Amino acid sequence: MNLKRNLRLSVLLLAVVGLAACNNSYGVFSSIQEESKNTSTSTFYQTLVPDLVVYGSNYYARLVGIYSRPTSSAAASGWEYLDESSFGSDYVCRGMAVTSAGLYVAISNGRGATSTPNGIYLLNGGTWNKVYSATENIQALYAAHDVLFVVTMDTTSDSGSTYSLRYLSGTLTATEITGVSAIPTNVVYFSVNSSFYCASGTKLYSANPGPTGFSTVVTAPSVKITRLATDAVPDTDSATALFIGSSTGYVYRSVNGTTWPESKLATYSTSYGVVSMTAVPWKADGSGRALLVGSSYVGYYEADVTSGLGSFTTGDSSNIVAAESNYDSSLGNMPVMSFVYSGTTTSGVLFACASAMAVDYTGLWSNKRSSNAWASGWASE
Amino acid sequence: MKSPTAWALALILALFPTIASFAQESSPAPLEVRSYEKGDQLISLSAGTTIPLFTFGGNAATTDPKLYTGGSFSLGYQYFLTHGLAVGGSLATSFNKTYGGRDFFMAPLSVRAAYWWSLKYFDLSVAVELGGYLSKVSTETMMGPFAKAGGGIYWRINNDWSLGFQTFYWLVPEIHSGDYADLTRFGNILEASIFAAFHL
Repeated sequence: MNLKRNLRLSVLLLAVVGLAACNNSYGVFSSIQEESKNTSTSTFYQTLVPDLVVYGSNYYARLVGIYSRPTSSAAASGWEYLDESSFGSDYVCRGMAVTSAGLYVAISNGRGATSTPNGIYLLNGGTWNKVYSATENIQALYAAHDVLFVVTMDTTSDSGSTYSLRYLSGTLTATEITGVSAIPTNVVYFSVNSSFYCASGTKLYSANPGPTGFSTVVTAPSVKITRLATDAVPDTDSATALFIGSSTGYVYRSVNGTTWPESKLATYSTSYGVVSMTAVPWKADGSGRALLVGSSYVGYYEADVTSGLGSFTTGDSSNIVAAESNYDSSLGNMPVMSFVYSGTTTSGVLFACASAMAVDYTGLWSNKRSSNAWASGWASE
Repeated sequence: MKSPTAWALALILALFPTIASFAQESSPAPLEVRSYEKGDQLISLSAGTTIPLFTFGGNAATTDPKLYTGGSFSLGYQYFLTHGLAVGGSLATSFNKTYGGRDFFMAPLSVRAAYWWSLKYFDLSVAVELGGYLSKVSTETMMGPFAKAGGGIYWRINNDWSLGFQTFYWLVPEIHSGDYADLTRFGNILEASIFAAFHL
C-alpha cells in the first residue's frame, strides 16, 4: 500500500513540477516553425554580400560579381550569375545603384594588384551600355534623389588613402568632399530641407540644392559617422527625420538636419559601431516606422521611430520584423552590411545583406511584409 | 559531421548483433514458439529514428515542422490479459535537431493496449498508446497529451527473445490557452525502430 501511495505521490509531484516548468506564453513547436533553414548550397553561403538593388523585375545582389533572380521567384531560388560579355570575363562589381535612368554598376577587371578600372555601365530596357569609361578607382555607388554619386579612392600609401565624392553627369564631376582621409558614407536626400547629406569621418556634409555645394554641418554630433538614413520608406513616403549612425553604436535623430536632440545606443558595446541603417514600415495600419540598425558585432537592433527615437533592442527581443527564434537562427549570428526594403507600407520585401564569411550561414536573407504585417521572418537566400 | 539519422542507424546496428548473439548463445536453434497467452509478460527495448512529418494548428503559416530526422529510444512493458491481448506502457525519448540548430527533446510516457498474432516464428502486433509528454527546446519546456499508434513484425528467436521492426505514428498536441491560443500546434511524427523483447 505504501509503495502504491508513494508511486501516486511521485507521479503527482512530477506532474506538478512539469506543469510549473511550462511556459504558456512560449510555443515550442511554433518557435521551431519560425526558425530559418540555413543551407550550405546557397550561392551566398559563407559570403559577404555588400549590397543589393531592385530594378525592373529582378533583384541584383553583389558579391565579387553580380547575381540576379526574378522578383517573382521564391526566396533562395532562381539566382543566376550575371555573365555580361561587355564587362569582361574577370569582372568585379565595385558598386550598384538605381535611379530613374536605370541600374548603374561600376566595373573593374582583375583582382588585387592587377585590378584595372573599367567603367560605369547602365542597364535600361534590357541592354547594358557603358556610360562612363573610368580611370578612377571606384569604391561605391549611391543613388539619392535621382542623382548617382560615386565614391573614388584617389591616392593610397602606407600612411592611408584619400577619397572623393563625385556625381555622374556624363562624366564624374567633383563635389566639395574631395581628398578626405575617411571613405565617405552613403548619401541620403532629406526632403524636409531639400538637402543631400553625406559624411566622412567626424564631418557631416550637406548640400542644398546639390548635387554640388557640400558644406560642413557644424552642429552635427562630434562622432565618427558611419551611416546615414532617413525615415522615408522607399517609393511611398517623404522623410520626416534624419538619422546618423556612429562608430560607437550611437544613433542620432534630427527633424531639421541641423540639431540632434535625441540619441540612443544601438549596440552591444561602444566598441561596435553602426554599419547599416534603414527605416521600414511597421504597425498594423502601416503608419509606424521602425529603424533597423546593423551592428559591426552581430545582428541588428530595432527601435520605434514613428514620432521620435525609441530605445533600441536586439532583433530577438523587439521582434519587429522577425520572431526571436527566427532572428537567433539567422541574422543574429553575423553583421548586417546593408538593409534594402522594396515595397509600400502595406507590403514589400526586405533584404539583409550580411557578412557570413566567418560563420556557417548564408550572407543574404529576405523577409516579407504583407497585409501590413511582418509575418514570415528571415528566409535564407 | 554525421547527421542525426546516421547516429540513429549506427545505434541500431550496434544494438542488433549484441541482442542477436546473446539470444543465440542461450538458444542455438529456433524452437517452435507458442502464442502469447494470459499471464505472459514482455519487457522491451527499441531504438530507431523519428521522422517529423508535419505540424499544424494555431496561427501556423506553414506545416513544415522545421525539424530534421532524429533518434529515438524506448523502454516498455506488456502484460497479456488474454490470448493475444496485452496492456502495458512505455517511456520513450526522442531527439531532433531544428533547422536553426537547436536541440528538440521529447519524452512521452504512455499506457499501451496491443494485440499480438503469432505465425510460426513471427509475431505481428498492432498497438495504441495514450499518455503525456515532456518536450524541451532551448530552455523552454512543455507538457501535453500524447498518442501513438502503429505496429510491427517480430522474429521469435526463441521463447525468451523476439527481435523485429516497428513503425508508430506519434500525435503530439501542444496546447496553449487564453491569449496564447495561437501558439497551439499539433506535431506529427513517424517513428521507425528496431524492437527487442524479453519474454518473462
